[in-house]
Formats: sequence, C-alpha cells, structure tokens
Amino acid sequence: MICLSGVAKSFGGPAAVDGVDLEIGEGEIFCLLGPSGCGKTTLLRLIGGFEAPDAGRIELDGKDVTQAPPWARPVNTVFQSYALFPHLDVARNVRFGLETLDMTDAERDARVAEMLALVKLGDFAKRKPSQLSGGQRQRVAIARALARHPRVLLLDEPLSALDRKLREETRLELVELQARLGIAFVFVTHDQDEAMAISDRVGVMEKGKIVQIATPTELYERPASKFVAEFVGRVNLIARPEGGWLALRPEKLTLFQGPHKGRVRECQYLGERRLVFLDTSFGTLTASAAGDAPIPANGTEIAFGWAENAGSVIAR
Amino acid sequence: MTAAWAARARTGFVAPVFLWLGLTVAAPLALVFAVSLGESTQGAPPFEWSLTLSNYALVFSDTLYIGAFANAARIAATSTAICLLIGYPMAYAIARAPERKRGFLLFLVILPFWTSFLIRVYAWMALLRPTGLINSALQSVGLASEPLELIANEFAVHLGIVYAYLPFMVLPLYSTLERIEGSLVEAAHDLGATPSRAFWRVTFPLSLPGVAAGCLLVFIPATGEFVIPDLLGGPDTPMIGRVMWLEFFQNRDWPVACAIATLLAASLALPVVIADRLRATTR
Repeated sequence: MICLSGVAKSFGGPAAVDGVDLEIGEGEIFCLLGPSGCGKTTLLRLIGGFEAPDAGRIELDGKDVTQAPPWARPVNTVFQSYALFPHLDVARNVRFGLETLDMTDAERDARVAEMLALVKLGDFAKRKPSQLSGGQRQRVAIARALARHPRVLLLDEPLSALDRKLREETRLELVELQARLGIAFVFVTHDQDEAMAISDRVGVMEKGKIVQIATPTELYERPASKFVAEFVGRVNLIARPEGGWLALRPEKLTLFQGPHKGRVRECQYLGERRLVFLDTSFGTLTASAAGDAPIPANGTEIAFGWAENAGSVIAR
Repeated sequence: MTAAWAARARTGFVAPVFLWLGLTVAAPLALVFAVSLGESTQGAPPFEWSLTLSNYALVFSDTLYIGAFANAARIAATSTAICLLIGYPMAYAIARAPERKRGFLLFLVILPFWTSFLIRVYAWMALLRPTGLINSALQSVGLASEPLELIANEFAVHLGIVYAYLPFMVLPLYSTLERIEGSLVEAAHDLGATPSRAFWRVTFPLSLPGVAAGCLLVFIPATGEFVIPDLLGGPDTPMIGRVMWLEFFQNRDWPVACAIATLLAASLALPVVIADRLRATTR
C-alpha cells in the first residue's frame, strides 16, 4: 500500500529522516514511535506530500508519488492541532475536500451527513470549530480527512491534545473505525502505551532511522536494541560477560526465589502492581509484583532470579 | 469584594484614556460642530455664535462642495484599492518569509516614517515636475521628446496617496496573515486544494479582518487628505480637504469650513460603524 525506499530528508542539519525503507500493508494500523526529534513527524509529512524527500522513492498504491503535491495524493491527514478551518462550520469543514471531487452537490451533502454520523457529530453540523470541545474537534478532523475516501489515513499525534480518559476512549473508537473502514492508518506518536495498544505493527525511530519494525508483542519481548528496549516499557539491562546485554522486563524477575541476592531499596505501589527496586551486583534492578503480594521492608535482603528463557539478548 | 476592587482598578486605568480622548477628540469636535452653526462676520474671530443650518444648506446646494466630496471619496477609494493590490502581496510575502528576515522587511516598510511626511511629498514634486528627475532622465535617453505631465493631476494625487498610505495597508494585513497557521493551508492542500484554491478558500477569507482594517486606515485619512492634493494635485479635481482649507484660510469662512469638517467626520464614521457591525455579526 505504502512503500518507501531509501527516503531521506534533511533541513540543513543532521538528517531528519535518514534512508528509511518501509512497507505498510492495506488495512494495517502502523505506528511510528519515537522520542521527539527522531524524525517520525517528518516521515509522516513526506508520505503526506508536505515535504519533498532529498533522496529515495515513495509509492502509494503502486504509483510513484515521490514528487506529487499533497493535493494529488490518495492520502489524508489528521493534523496534530486538527487544523480545522475556523471560518467554516463543521459541515463545511467536512465538505471542503469534496468540492474538488467529481460529485454532484446532493452526493456531497449525503457524504457529509454520512461522515458526521460516522463520528457521531450529526447534531453539530452548524457549529463553528470554536464552539466545540477538544474531543469533538478531533472527530471533525477525522471526518474531514475520511470524507475523500483516502486509501491511507495519516494521523499526527492525534490523541496528544486530549485528556487521559478521553484518550483511552478515543483509542478504542479509532481501532473500531479502522476495522470498519479497512483502510490503512499510519499514526505518529511518542506515547509507547498508545503505540502498543492500537498498532498491528510499530516502527521505532531513532535519529532519523527506523531501528525496529515489529508487532507490539515482538517489540516488547524481543527488542532489537538497547534503545528500543529502554524506550518501550521498563527494562533491566544486565551486561553479559561475552558482550551485549540481557534485557529482562520487570515482571520476568522472580522475587524470593533464585540464585541471586539483592537488597530492597524502595517499593512503589501502583495499584494493580507494585514496583520493587533492588540493589544488586548487576546494579539497581526493577521487579514487578502483584499489588497485593507481601513485600519485605526496605533494606532487607531477598533472593531473586529469572527463568532461563525470560530475557532476550541484545547486541547493541 | 475582589470583583469590586477589580472594577475600581479598571476604572482607574481606563479613566485617563477617556479623559485624553475627551480633551483631544470630543471637545474639539464639539467646538467644530458649534462653530458650524454660527454665522460668518468680519472680525476676530471671524464668526458669531448662532444656531443656523444655513452653512449646511450652502454646502449641500453648491456643486463645488458636493463635487469635492465625491472627488475625495472616489480618489480615496481607488487609491485604497491600489494600496490593497500592492500591499496584499507585500504583506503575504513578509508573513511567509523566514522568521529571522521578517523584522528587517517590516523595518523597510516603516522606514519612510523616519523622514517627515511633508518632505517626502516635496521629494515627489522634485521627481515629477516637468524639469524633475524622471522627465529629464526620460528626455536624456530619448524616451520622451517633451516633458510628460506627471504632476498637477489626478495621477500624481493617486501616486502620492498610495505611496504615503501603503504602510497602513501592509501592517494590519501582515499582522492577520502572520497569525494564520500554516497547518490550515496544509490542511487545504491535503484536502485536494491547489495553492490558488487554498488561498481563496482559506487564507483570503481568514485575512478579511486585516483587509478591512487596512482599507479603513487608508481610506479615511486619504479622504480628508490636504497636503497631497495641494502639492501634487491640479485645479481640475478639488478634494474636500483642500476645499475646507481654502474656506478656512483664504475665504476666512469658519462656519462653512466647520460644516464641511462636521460632514466629513460624520461620513467617515459611517464605514467604521459598518465594519464594526460586520465584525460583530460574523463572530
């Protein structure tokens, strides 16, 4: 569906996007995950056509669109700040993209109504964006972007402006929406929970490069590098005598049993679980225990260990 | 308690403004209006207080005054339109320029203010007159056999007004254009709009408050303009500002001059009120 090969872009400094190869399939939810400044937004803008690559090739639906302007690409974008037209009401915002399509006015009106129903904003057609809540604005942005029936929907940090509760609700709705429409969604986010929760596959970016493309499970269980292991969830990195590290997730550490000894430094209660910080010969390790599990007082020495296949070995 | 305190503080801050406006705007206007109801006499001051509308009757009955009003409105309107046509692309280019260059470009826009307005109009006289720089240059390279009539006509008045008031068009346009988020234009492109469509459907409608402000800032002072028509204009198309000056200083008919001034102020308040209404209804 989307095929990038050797795509590079710099803005005069170090490359913002540095030789990215990427294939995204039809109907896939793909997430570009990385810290700020890693090039994920630039990559999304390259796909949308808002930036032209210095090198490489971008194909959409089998067609080379490397040089095509945004208005000639079969993709649409949900912008981070939504970028709703403030002078147009909700219905006219959604209609905007239909005016250049070969349709009759009646068809356009029908499509607008259909899109507003899709995002449950049918009663808000005549409101101006300034009269909507943040969540409603985001729905308008999605309806507007979907109205043109794009093959791919690009979403730039779509949930970052929403509060926590609304964000989790919206995640669910976006996944359901995508399943219903069957088109590819490409997300950009710096929030690993969000990426893990909604993606079919995640591409982790670091300094302009994609350092790992994997399913959320693979990413968590088999991180390809120290950077990925540390960026996605909590991890204990235990240096191996032969080089590299053993990456152990906190819940893989067993407390009160195992060949190693550690001193309890601190416990943090998080409700459904408890994080136990242990001072050991490997450095400070983090273990995760059930919230109701008995925990010794700070300063006591306890045994710990891990199962043989509990961790994954990373070389760099 | 705190609300009352805040209200009192607000009154405290706003009171000097109203005092100032009262002393420098309302009081002189009231005086002008009062004199316009007076009668002209030979003396000092050359009028007597009265309550007559005869000065207004004179202004409305003499085609000289009506014509001068019409000329002023027409010349100010075309000059405003020309300012908009030149100023919009300028403001747009400055607003789209890299941020570090914008300050310098804006500085260039207001640079003419470093020199007195009067001197700049005199400079135009030096350029435009039959023996001026432009004519002698054209003749010396053989592009004209005799001096072109560049001054003492409507062309020169338009030129002078556009030149003098262009910054007042550019600055409000710039400030609205600069505030339009780039992502809105990108969203328009994303939704299939070519650059020209994105401009006419998004950028231009969002810049209309700046267009209105710029047009008012040019049209209003241009209508009452005296210096430019006096120095660059000809006798064929008198503008109301100049006619008023003549009534005041040459004919020493203060009541008629004041009647003209009152009518001018009232008619110029009209576009401001209309613009304000429009803004209130579109919000």
